[in-house]
Amino acid sequence: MISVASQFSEVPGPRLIEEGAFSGEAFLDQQLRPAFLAAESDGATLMIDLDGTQGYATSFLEQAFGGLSREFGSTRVLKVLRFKSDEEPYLVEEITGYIGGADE
Amino acid sequence: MKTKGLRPKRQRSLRRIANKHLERRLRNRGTRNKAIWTEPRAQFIPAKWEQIELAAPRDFSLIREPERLVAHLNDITSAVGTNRVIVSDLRNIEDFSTDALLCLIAFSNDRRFSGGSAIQGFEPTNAEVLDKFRDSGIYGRRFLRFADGAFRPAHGTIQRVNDKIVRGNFAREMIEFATLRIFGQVGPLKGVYTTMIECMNNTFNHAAATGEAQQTWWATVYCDTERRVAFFNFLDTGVGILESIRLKYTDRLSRLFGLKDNTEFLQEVLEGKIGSRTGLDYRGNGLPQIVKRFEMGQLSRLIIVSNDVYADLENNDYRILPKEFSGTFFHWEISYDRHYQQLEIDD
Repeated sequence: MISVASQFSEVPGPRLIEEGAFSGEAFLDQQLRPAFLAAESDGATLMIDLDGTQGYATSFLEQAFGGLSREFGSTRVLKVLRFKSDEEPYLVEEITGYIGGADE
Repeated sequence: MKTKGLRPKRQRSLRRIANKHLERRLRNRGTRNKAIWTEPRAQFIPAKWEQIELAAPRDFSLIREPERLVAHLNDITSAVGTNRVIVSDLRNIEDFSTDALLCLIAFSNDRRFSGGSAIQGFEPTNAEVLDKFRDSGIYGRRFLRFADGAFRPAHGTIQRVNDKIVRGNFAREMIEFATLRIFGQVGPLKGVYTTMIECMNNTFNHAAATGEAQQTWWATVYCDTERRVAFFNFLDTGVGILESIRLKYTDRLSRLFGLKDNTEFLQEVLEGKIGSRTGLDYRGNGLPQIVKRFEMGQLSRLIIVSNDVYADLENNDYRILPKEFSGTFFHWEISYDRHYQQLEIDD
């Protein structure tokens, strides 16, 4: 499992590293991609806990999850990732949209 | 400077040199000045500079009187010139909102608008308005000493970030400032955080005409603790939303021939129908996200002013302004009554 708040930042930032700290690009590079590949090779799922942060910009989520999908394809990504978002339940649908939209 | 013990001629010479340095420092300081002075001539401005006073609108507010405030800002920027001090005369204002102060400070600190002039102002003379004015955070103090001698936390804060990056910690600080005063406890406001990050990101990516990150952004929050409402404002003095979008050929023609005006284009941008200047399909969702958070009830009273458009989304009021506003401005509110559930407060 990856908890964004405790393992990355309570203040997720912008899209790209050059735009500011705790970006979606940094999250993808440092946490998401390595954990995704590890989970996939183990035949396991990867739970992403989105709770506990101050909030998310759409660009952060799109760069992280849409970026992962652009790299590996939405089918592979959706097969592995699971989401927990009790504080903002609508984020799950939003992220799923970014993952699916990356194939277009 | 110590000149005691030196010969008189040497003392005079040193004083002349010191005065020249001082005058140069004061001249530069004048153009970076952020303070509002009560004296007719601020003591730091050289006496030979021409002073031009411009009366501010009686309701000094961008969100309530956008036409008058934008006209006043345009008058200020039109009056700038070398060795001039432009004074925004707030002495007779009857009310104000912090968004107008934010605009005044931001434009006066942007050399593209202030040029070689110092831009200052006179404080309001109405006692009640003056209290609120000083409490707004305009002088940069978080605690103010009142007539009874006690220090109390200010109700407002005005912040500038000019390192041109997106700062999540900054957004959190402003939210904590507001939640402590409105809800009595510190807590997250997800919609406000998302909105602030989107605004900063928008400035970073779109405010500069060349596409490079060149713009400073400003933010304020003012808390009316009696009504338990926090007023947030965000501003950049860039090219504006409508100069930074990528229009289709047909839309460019529509605009050219007046078939569509900028209120329609802004609505399409907010609905996500007009893409990002980058041309990438997966970008350009920042402004629609802000609107989505507003429609979900996480923010109230969302107002956007950019280029020649004023948009009050809560009242569905979209207007063309007679004079152009240089930049992009966002306003939203958080109130105890409407938003306490976000902090999971038992009411």
